[in-house]
Amino acid sequence: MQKRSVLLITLISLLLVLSIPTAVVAQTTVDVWHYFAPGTNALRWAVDEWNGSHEDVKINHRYIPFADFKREVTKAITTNTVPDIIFVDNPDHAQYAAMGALADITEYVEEWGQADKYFDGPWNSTMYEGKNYGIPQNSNTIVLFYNKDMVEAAGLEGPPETWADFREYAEKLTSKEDNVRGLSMCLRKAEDGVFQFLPFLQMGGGDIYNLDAPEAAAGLKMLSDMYQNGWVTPESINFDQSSAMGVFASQNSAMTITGPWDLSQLKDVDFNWDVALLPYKEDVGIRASALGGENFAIMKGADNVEEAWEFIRWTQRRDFVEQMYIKGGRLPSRSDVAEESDYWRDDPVQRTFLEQLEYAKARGPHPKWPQISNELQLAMQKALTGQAAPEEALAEAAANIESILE
Amino acid sequence: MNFKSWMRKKGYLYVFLAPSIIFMGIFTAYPIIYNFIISLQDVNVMTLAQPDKEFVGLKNYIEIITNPTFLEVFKNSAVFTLGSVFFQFIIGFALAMFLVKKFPLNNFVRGFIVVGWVIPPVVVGTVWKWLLNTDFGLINYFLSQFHILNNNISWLTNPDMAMIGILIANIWLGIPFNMMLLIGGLTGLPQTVFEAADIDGANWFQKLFFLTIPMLRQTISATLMLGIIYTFKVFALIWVMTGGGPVNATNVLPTWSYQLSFDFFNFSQGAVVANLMFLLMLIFSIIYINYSAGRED
Repeated sequence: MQKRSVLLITLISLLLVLSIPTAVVAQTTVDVWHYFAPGTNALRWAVDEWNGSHEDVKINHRYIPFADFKREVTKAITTNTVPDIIFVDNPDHAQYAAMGALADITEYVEEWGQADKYFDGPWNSTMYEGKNYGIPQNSNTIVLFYNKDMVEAAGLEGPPETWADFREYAEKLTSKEDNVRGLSMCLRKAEDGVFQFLPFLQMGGGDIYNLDAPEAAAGLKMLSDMYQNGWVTPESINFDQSSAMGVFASQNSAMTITGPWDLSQLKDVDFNWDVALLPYKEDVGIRASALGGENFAIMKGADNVEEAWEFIRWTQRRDFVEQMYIKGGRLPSRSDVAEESDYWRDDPVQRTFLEQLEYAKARGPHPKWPQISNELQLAMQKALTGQAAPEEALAEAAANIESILE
Repeated sequence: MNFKSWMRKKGYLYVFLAPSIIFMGIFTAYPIIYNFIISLQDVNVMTLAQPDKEFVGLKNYIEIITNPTFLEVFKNSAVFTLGSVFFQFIIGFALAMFLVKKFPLNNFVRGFIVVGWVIPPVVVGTVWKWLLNTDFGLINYFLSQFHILNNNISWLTNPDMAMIGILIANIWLGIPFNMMLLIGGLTGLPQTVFEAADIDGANWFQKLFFLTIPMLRQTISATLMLGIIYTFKVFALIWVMTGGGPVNATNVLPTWSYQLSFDFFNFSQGAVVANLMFLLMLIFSIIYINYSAGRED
């Protein structure tokens, strides 16, 4: 009796073991790592669409929170267990490419021949030393949100157009009794702080590689003035963008600066709000904004480079990619979609985002961008908290950046 | 002696030891050694994916120690550790003295205080971040309600105050741990000595300084040492509350090491900072062990 059951179990397990390889051989799995919580990007939708229509190649996606993402990827690189595709925040792309972590897909891209369909900013962020290391998946940018009711109550009209207006609005809209500050924005010591601040540096006529130039200090001077006058929510220097928007949504600030991903916080608010282009410096006349967004990249040493490329290309078909941008609440990286689609033109809020995107500039690209960015973060915070004058803080950062670039 | 009899006499002990030796080897010794090796190599963004990394000797150590940020961060770590341990210990000791007394609901109060210690640091950090918020925080609200101050304090956004802000949170987090250890020590003290002191007419202070503290020396030094080691490597609380900012006001060795490794991908320099922490704590532990061993004689 016992003998027979042992035999039976052995036979069954043998059968099972034999059947596994055949099931695996029939299918290739492409692993995709990303950092999008549900509802913040249409990647999940795209993966479902692909898996529903493809039998031989399946996409398996894995969500890793943004804060842990780089650590997981580096761990995978050092232990040779890389996925096929990763999502890269565009200022980090050059660093990954310089690391030798990404597959050179120049040949595929040339054969595909759609490079000219993309905006320059996002596209350039995927290039390193003249070679292609990825494809932009989406773009985003930041605009000014303002509380229309508060603006009206203060006897002002419309959004602030210029920096002079911006200061005036921030001052007039601040009301200590009502616990309202003129502005809340993310100015923290992290990449998103730089993302938010960089447009102000650029609108003043400066750029990050010449922080000791006199025009570089203009933006930081204005913001730290506003901050020290108490017109900006003090916690702004520890806020991420969504927290800054949270203060705006609870009517504790009259203006905030953030991107389309935070629109969901304004769904059920009982006040009138609108968006506008970031105010510019009147005597310089440059408009600027931050270019955000993610790129697809194929890892070097990936098991299924061919299939991974096939998936990426499949998501970038003209109509499909438009749906992916819309469903994910993102802005197009492809200029043909931006020009031809009605979606962004018909909705006034989306139109403002798209208009602002035209002025958006990429961060970097530079393999040492995180270090460069860190110097700017320190300078920002020194000036905002009054530890150093803006010019002084920026001159110090300029010297440090120079030694990083050596 | 043949293997069999050696096994019977002594060898079997090694068999029992094997699981913990293997475990310690894989999860403790290997990372420490590996960390030491990469601190002597050039492992950064450019070389990470390459199989062979260049050996650079002590270059990384020199670069870290001569980096002006190092002194600042080291000072922050020292202030944070000593400040936390000092107040955690004093308050924990006072609570322990109070809670060894028998009174109704005593166990309930003890249990309640320990709850604070069970909460993950990330949660504690998030809660304190809101309590210490400049405009909407409860701390500022109470302080101004009682007219203790007129202007709100920027606890976490003013570089001069931020260290105090995270110290308050960390002291709160560490009190229960100190309290529990000290309660354990206090309950073990022989009551007869105190009864004798009462008969001799010793007052409360005399009993505290000449009986309680000397008899508790072992527990006190163990509490302080564990406190210093725990506090020295606090990461999550600070990361959540300030991310090491504003500027570098609350950047301590663990947060700096993380930043070097995972923001800048300079793993060698991140490892150097971790090794310096390790070395410092090792020296500290050796002094402690020698000290406590000497005491026992």
